[in-house]
Amino acid sequence: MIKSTWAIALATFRSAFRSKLSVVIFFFSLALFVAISLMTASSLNEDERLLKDLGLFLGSSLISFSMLALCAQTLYRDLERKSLFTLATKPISRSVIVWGKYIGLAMSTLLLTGLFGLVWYFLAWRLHIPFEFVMIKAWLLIWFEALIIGSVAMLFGSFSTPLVTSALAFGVMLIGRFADDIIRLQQRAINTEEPSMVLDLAKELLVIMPPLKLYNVSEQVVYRSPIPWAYVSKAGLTSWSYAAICLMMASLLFARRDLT
Amino acid sequence: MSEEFAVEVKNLSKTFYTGFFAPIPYLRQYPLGRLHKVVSAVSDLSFNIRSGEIFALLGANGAGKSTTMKMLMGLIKPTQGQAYFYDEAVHHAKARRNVGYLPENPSFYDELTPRELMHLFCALHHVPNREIEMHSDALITRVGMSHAADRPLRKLSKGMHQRIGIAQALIASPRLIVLDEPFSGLDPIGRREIREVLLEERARGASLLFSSHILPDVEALCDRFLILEQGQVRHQGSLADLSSSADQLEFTLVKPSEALQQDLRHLEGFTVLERGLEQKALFSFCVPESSQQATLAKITEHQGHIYEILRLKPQLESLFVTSNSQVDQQNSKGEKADD
Repeated sequence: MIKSTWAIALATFRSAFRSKLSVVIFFFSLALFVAISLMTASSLNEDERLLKDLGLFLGSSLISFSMLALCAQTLYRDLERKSLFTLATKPISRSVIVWGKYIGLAMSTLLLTGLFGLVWYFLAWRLHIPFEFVMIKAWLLIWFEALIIGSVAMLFGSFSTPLVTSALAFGVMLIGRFADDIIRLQQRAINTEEPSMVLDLAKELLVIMPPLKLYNVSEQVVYRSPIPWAYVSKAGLTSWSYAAICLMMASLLFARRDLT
Repeated sequence: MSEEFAVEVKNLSKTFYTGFFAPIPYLRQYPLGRLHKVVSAVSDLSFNIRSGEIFALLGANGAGKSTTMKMLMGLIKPTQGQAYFYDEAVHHAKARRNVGYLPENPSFYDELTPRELMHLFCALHHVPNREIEMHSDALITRVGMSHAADRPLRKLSKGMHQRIGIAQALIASPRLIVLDEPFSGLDPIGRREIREVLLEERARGASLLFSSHILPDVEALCDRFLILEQGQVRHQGSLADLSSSADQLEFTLVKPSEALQQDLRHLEGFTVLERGLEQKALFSFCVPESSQQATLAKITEHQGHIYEILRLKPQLESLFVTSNSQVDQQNSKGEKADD
């Protein structure tokens, strides 16, 4: 099973790496980074803060959206192009396809994250910003976040179209990122002693939403607060566990589906 | 000792439900859940393929051939019935260990090369790592694709995709090969080459199940065949039975009266043959040789004019056409009854 999963992951990674979409995403991102570079050049003593803040925000958004887009369409596109027919009729279970494709796309996104990191370090070097190890941790956390978003997209993509999948996964991403604000909003509502059923339901729903706030460390990076490895490990473990649960559900749903 | 079957199909049926609430079977019993279309693609299909046999699934477009093959390969779940590959239920992944499958108009990962694709499929067939390279190269050469082994698949023609599709179906020397339209997209030389590859596989002892519209290829390859029409078995037999069966007579009459036409329709085994617009003045039909005297008597009685009488040797094509004509006639009768 491991051999089959790895074989599919490798083929998916190669396909994603060679696809036009990856090239477009990379060059678009490169252009954005150049734009940040120009903005920082025109700012007064704020270049380091801007580069860190904007760089991480853009990197996080682009990597998450790339993973979302790739995972949302992977199963559907293979089914549309009928390339799934040869794969699904091999002596493997459908969960191997789901896991293999996800791992392949996660590898592609890791490569994209690495490239973004390199571009960021190049810009920092040009602006004479000293090398900081904490940025590597920040980029790693961005990748962990993308893993969660990708797994949610795989879950919805196992039974739905890319458009619906993207909308649903994007909704989960937004809720996951702004969970703290939603809770704060709810607490304010409770403080005004106006209990709302909708807000109670929202609170229940938040429990199953991914804790994406965990992966946004731009504040710590900008103000040079330390990010301990224990924190990164915990965030990584949370990401993998959440992704594993989503992929198991995706496998179950995909196994029951007619591939026509 | 009991006979070994490569494929056993028992009462296989597939009904598709389409519509917003159709995917939820529980809702189908409620009025809201009944807002869906029901399409019966395959109905109560049963057949066996003996080990080492070449079996053809025939039928017009939409007859249910591809749906049947997809059910056998586990892509679609049957609504009812069971199917087995060498006594193993087809929905288990391990039942496909000894099975190669070529879908209709195969498509692969465009960004990969044929060699990379074969490596992937070899790994999925659990070919040992040290043998993957050798095995892939041998299969690519066998289907005549060694010159394009390292070109991206998106740059290859439809025929080349078909050859790669056949190569991947032969990985790990399967005991059963299932091919959906294997000759589609191939030129005559390609068709001959692939036919030879399939005959070599048969000589190795493999069983073959394939569908095709190219009837001369079917006649050149298959031992037994099954004609599907609207998801139901219309005819099942062997080519040997076909050649030993009685001849048919094709009568062509010039402008026969309505009364004669009606009278002829009561003959046993009577089938109207469709003709082009330019021959609308002519009326052609088939009857078994045993009905010759009765047919002639009716034509004489109504003073009909015979244009020609042909003796038809039983061929797959005539059987295929006759089956389809019979179904068309049944359908038009049904439509008339509905009207």
